[in-house]
Amino acid sequence: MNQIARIILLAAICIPAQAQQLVFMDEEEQVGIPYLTVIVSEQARTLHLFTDAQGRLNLPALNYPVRLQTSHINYPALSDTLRSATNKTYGLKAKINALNDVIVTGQFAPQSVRNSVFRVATITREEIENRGAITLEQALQNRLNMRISQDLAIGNATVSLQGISAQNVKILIDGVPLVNRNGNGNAADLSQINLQQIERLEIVEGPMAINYGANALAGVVNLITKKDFERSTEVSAFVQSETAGNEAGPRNGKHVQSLQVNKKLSKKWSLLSHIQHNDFQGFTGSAPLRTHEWNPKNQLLGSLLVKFETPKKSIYYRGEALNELIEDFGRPQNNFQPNGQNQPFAIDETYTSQRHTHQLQAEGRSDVFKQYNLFLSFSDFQRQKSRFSKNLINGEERLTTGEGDQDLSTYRVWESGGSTQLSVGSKTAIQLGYQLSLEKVGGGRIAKGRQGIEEYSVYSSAEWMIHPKLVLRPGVRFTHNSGFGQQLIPALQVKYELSSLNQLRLSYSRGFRAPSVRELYFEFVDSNHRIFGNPNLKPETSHHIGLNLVAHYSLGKQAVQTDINLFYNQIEDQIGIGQLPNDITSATYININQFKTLGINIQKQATWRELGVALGAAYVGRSNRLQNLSPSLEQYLYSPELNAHISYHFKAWGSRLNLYYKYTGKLQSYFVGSENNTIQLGGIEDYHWLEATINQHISKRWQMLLGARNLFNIRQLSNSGAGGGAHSGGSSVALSYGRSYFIKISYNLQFK
Amino acid sequence: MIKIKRTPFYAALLAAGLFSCTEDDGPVTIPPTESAVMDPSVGGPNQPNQVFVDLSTETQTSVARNHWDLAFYTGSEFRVLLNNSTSALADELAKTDLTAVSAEDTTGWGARLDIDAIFGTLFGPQRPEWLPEAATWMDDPSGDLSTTAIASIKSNADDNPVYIINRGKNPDGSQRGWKKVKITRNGSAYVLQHANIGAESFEQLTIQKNADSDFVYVSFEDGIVSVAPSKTEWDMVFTVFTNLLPIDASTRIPYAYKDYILTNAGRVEVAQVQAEGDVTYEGFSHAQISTVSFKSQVSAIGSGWRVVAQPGSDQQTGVKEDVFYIIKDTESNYYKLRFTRLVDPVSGERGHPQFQYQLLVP
Repeated sequence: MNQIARIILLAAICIPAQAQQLVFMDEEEQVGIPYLTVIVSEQARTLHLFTDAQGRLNLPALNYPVRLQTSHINYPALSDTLRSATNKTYGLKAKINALNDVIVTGQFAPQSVRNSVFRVATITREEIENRGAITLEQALQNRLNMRISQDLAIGNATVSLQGISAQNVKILIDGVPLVNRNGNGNAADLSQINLQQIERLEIVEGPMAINYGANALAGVVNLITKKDFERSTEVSAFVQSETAGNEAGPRNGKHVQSLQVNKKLSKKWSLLSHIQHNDFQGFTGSAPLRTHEWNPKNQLLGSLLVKFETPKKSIYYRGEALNELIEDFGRPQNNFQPNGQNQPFAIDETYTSQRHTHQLQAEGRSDVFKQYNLFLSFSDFQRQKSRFSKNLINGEERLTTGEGDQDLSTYRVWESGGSTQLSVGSKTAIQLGYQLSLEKVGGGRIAKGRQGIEEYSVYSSAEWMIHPKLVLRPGVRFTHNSGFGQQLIPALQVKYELSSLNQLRLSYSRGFRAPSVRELYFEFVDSNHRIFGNPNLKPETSHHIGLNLVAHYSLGKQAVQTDINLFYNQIEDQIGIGQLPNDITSATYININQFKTLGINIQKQATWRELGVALGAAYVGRSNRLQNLSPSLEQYLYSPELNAHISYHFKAWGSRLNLYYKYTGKLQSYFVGSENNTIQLGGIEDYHWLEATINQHISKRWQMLLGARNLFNIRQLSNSGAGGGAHSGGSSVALSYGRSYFIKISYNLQFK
Repeated sequence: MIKIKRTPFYAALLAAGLFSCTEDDGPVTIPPTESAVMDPSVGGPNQPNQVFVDLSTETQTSVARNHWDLAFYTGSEFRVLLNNSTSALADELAKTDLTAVSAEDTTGWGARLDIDAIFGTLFGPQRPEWLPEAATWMDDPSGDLSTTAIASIKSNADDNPVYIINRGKNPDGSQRGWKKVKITRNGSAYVLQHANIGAESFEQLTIQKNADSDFVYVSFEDGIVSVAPSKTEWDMVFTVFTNLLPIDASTRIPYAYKDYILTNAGRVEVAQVQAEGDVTYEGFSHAQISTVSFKSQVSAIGSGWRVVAQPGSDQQTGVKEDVFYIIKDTESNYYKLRFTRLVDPVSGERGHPQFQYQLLVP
């Protein structure tokens, strides 16, 4: 052996400058990996080299033996020792969280991000864990193009996307809309969405109306639940304690306890279960006695997944339950009795939300259908508002009797959907699908107390590979809705593969938002307000144009991934408040407004050994009806955003540091203001958000996460954009209860 | 501000007050109430009553707020007020003969001379041109008698136009209907002619001024009715109050406030005190009176004593605990007063105010 080596070495020296080519291939895709950094170390020197667009590397003359080490953001490092100048091909397996992430949202069959015709962004389990994110709100906190708004009165957090309101952002769980107080999937309260059983988040910007129907006008956030695990039994538990601003301790802040048990019952059957308690004690801040700036919120939730799996199909049942209690304690008020004695009391309110979801889902392949997916789900959401008067001397509580004081709002939805993929020749695949939903909504301010909406849709898309690099995806959806009748929605998406890691995507799609039950059937009359729903509303419709480029290039000695997005949205027939034509003393909802947004965002990420860096910038413009009516105004008001994620792995200590940053620019808008009926410019001020966490590995089973959120300690954002009228709103918008710290300790136990 | 305009008026009132005092010169003096807690019977969420409160005698006079339509001023001027608490509005016609007015004269008025219709325009496609005018269809909320919806009654009968009155709303929200009226003078008295808009005949009523009250109240149905106690026998009134809400720099529209408090114009002064640090309701003494500044506007208390929950904010309906008032009543007694509640301790509904007060003695 030694001899042979010596001969080869001798040969290498004797035959200088012999051409030698190495090829680096993606194992799964069987294509070359461009811009792969290859560090070649001779005894005396080190060379940094790159593969070409086809993944080829021509080595110069070297003094063998040499050591090779590769470095690439999407591939694990590969090392090898070359003893002589020979041609060689290496296969590399892509890392998870790269372009080869398997995603499902809007796809015919699960496939890689790279092959998806439209851009799908993911947030992995790892990131959710690293951030100590309990709810969806926390996981989306520093994403570009997203803004989270808090409603302190009802303790709810919603997200806007691409400058378009939360009503148009559809939240799905395994593709099924998440029923909530405001709708079937849209305007969901993010603080009620728990992430413990979520494997990853898939985010698609731009309308996904073909596959997901109404209310996905701005895009979808699809939460993919965990369904697979490796061992026969896995038990994991964690506790997390968080301060609320400077308020800490067992009776302050937020405390989370969670337990997860996964078990394989047989080869075919497995079970995943989870139970969690989120206990937020509220934030008092400078609020008067008994009251809170942020009301206490107590959530108890659980889920159960039963899976039956054979090589050709899997069927699973998923049940989920949420019980949430928000307590709004009132200020003490005096009440003098005729005898002069004071019996102070307070008016307290509670909001109890309950959600049960049952979902039966089947997917697989058969001879007729290449890939199919079917689901049937029933969701029951209800929220009880209770208002009572509490005697602060004897503690007696009595329900108050004012109109609307006690109110039960309900939202029940039966939903079923299915899709299948058919192959027509080798270059074309067709997806056919249906979806139907039966919604029943009840509540005190809904006309007649109860209303229903039914919707039936069929859709079809085709993926047609015109050329090995060019895929076209036209689609159409036909919807019949009991409220607004029929609608036909088209979309066209194009993907062009510039190279194996560079793709260009273009999409034109239409989206729509169905009028909400509140807009259709609301009823509210008091001394100064007369507001009625309008059953004749049309849906809001939109045109969306998007352009996306994902590219890789080398910067110094490192490959950098770049993601550039351009988008334009135009919403017509946007619903606003207007006068009832036949009763001008009343206000109603009418299709009156117009809204446009356009923007660009650029994201870059790279990894240098232990250091990972992702940077992004976005510039989003918004244009409302006033701008459309007055050409003299700035047609778009732009708001910049910057974000960054920096991670560092301290290998020696087994710890990881993560920093998440976002700058959210001033959000400006025109409104008809209090100056002479003129149009004024106002806005919500800009702010910086910074989160830091340290993930510390303690032992095989124990892990600890330390973190701090909102390091700049921002609580309120001043708002100069409030319109006139009696309720000119607050002059500030709530962001957070301030800088908070948390600790999470988790324990994992695995058998076999 | 408006204060300046009213100064001569108040001076006149004060002078009249002093004058009448020397004339009445009653021998019996009842000592003023030293401290009390009062529960004005506003009547719950619809607030059907106007409650006049006299602090020194610890009395309240409760009157149904839809019990009257017009208030005729008893001073030297000839002024007529609308019932602000029902959000009544009035606009004049170019006619002076009541019988010549028919329904055609008011075509389309329902879409403008109506508080709900005016508010509704805020949601309309475009603000109507008449919107800035809406403020002139009600009496100025400052109580300034020179800016009333119905112009001062001229001595020459033909100089007084016919007015169309939308009588506003009952406490339950129902409409009170419309009237046409013409008011003239007869010596020192008023003569009121009124009828339904389409009617060919009308009713007539003569209203004599008297020295006892500031206003004589008239109901279209019941003629002269009793509403406010006599001039000095009330200090403040709890009422629904139609105010002017600014919607931009030049436009204000009628907007009804509940749980509003007006003070007896020109006879009561009010200082609002912020409780902080050493300044507390409990500790406030007669010696501190000079440290606070008094206002004589009728809306000096207004709605400043309470908070009402608004959509999207976490503020709760109730009284402001950090505010109390020093009140110089019609008999020049100084009281400290604080509101203790706004809502009923059981039902939780508004329209159940309570306050406590105490005489400040040197």
